[in-house]
Amino acid sequence: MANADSRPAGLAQRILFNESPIATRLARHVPILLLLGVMLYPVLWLVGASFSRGAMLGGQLSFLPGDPTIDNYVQGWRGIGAIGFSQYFANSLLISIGSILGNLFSCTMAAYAFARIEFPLKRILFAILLLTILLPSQVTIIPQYIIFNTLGMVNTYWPLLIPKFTAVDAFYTFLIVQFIRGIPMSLDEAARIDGCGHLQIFLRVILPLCAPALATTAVFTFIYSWNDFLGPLLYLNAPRLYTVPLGLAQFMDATGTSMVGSLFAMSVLSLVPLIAVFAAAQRLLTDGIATTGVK
Amino acid sequence: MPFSMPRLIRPLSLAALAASVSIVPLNQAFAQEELSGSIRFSWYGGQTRNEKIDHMVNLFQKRHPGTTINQEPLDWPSYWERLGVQAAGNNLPCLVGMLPFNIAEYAGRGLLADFQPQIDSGAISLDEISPDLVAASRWSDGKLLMLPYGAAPDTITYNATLAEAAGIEPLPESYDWDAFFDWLLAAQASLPADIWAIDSPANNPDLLLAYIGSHGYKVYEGETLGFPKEVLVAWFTEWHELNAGGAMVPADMLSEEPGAHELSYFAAGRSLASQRPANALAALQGGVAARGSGDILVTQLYPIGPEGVGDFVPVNSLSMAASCDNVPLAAAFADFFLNDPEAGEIFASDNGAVTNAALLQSQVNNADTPAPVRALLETFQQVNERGSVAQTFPARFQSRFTEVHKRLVMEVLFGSLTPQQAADTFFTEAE
Repeated sequence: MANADSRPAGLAQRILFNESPIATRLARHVPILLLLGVMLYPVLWLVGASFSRGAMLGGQLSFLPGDPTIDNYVQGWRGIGAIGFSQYFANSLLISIGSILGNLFSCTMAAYAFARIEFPLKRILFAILLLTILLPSQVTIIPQYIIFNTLGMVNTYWPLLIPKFTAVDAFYTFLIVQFIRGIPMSLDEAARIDGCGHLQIFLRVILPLCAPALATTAVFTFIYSWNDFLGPLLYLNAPRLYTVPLGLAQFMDATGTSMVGSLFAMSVLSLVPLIAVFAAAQRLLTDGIATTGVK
Repeated sequence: MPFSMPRLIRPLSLAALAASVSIVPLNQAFAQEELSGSIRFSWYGGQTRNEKIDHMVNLFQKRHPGTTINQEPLDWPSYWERLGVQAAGNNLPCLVGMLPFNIAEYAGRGLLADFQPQIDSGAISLDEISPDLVAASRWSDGKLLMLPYGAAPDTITYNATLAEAAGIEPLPESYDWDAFFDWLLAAQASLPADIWAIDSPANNPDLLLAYIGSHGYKVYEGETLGFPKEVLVAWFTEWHELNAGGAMVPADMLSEEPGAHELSYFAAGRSLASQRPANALAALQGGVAARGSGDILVTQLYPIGPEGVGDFVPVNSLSMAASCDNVPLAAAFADFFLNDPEAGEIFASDNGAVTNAALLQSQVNNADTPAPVRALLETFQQVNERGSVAQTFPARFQSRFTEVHKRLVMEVLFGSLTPQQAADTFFTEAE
């Protein structure tokens, strides 16, 4: 160990040798705060622009609106014709909640089957499931559209919800499979000795222990559904059914006059549910990704 | 009762009068009986246009109780994305917004209906629409697959206030390509630092189309390019020289430019001139106003070439799906969209100058017509007087021609390709 008298007296040395806790904290936190500023700047600019007259069209760097106004929010909230933006929020919420329920219902059951039940071709089917993660969604767009159109489901929410109830989101199934595999089999065996079948083991043993993975699935599903543009674009024709991303797109017009201020204002509002959900489920989200079923 | 002519005259004349009075209502009643049910109508646009069309639809439905026009509005890029999938799924709306650049993808697959039977029956009137426009709306097999409703001639739009302040002469009414490029280079010498003479020649393909047309060539002859490679080499060379002369917005800035007119460098005052559709003037002027500037933007028709005028006028049109199951209602609404004075007043040339001559004149005469819209209407009238060139475009024109041109212009400006190499590549990729 080095002698204290022989240590150099510079700031870097003091930090290295932990002589000044304040200096150390400053040296560690200032760069992090600077990085945070860089990362948050676009969001702050967006919020500032949403209160700006002319929506900062000059491309200024400052995110402080010179002459603040809430007109952008008022105009944006009016939506299209008789359809207010609140309708788009309600539609997005409906689809997002439906998607969460669908994924939780179908992915957990599929995952339990792959993790705990022996059946013919299980390995091959699981490999196929994993391969579907690699399949670009664009490949299936037109065949899927033709199927739903033939079933008379275009211009309804069913094409956006039905797939969620059939475990098409293989990533979540894989996530929950891995989580269930971390739960000791002895818990299943104990339940089986007590007379439980697969359904009871699934409902009473596995599902409660999967809470973090379910939260992860729910949050990611919410974020994806809330932000999904292509699905609603193809399947929802009537403006009364539009979701928030489609509603936002209505403010831009490459062939005429865009309403950029309203676009910024409604974009800010559309971020609120995402931030709220993420903040509420942050701890479970981390647990779902970083831990196994037993602590 | 003995027969007497005078005694019969009165009842007969009354009957004739009654019959004559009742003819029109009977026809109307018949027409209203014919018009029932619903159609889907899809178009591209933003909030402002959507609200106008919503008003028009409400007016039409009020006049024709029992009919429903289901509206399917979308922004420009999303519109074409969805329309392509709907076409693949045989689920096109009865009426769709269409452009000459895009029609080949639908017409070539037999997805659109010929309007001629509706014209012949009188359900749709084209009496007030220029025969040239109607002719240009016909597909290669002669079928009328588009009803032109909004002409969007392209212009060289420039900042007159900035030009005046810098002592730059305004563009003359008639000028050729050499004069145009010379004007830009000369203007650059008078402009303040960080303001360039022009932005990009590739915002849309229309300037290049005019260049080709004014040299006496068709853009496409069927599936092959209809002009010699030298024309394109000359074109790329002109822009390369402008760029080398510092008269263009730098390429690295152009590659980051936002797409909306209001957010463009031109609207932000970073360039003196830009090629823009005349119907973008309101949006551009709005962008100028948003940055607190009172600069006035003006439009000038494109340059002419050795073979005269080469302008191609893109016209926003309506097309009808071949699968439409309510043709009478689709035709009635299309006719209303094109010709109804009240509808025209509501729409107010929102997507190009109204093609109906009577409505056009009425909007020109209306003192309340906003200045940018008036400029659009007058530009369209000038184009009509000066003449234009009809063009037909093959399938995937946007990806084969427009996008390739955009990319190659940038490569020339960045210096990664010479004009000759760019032209070679273009001919390889665009055919």
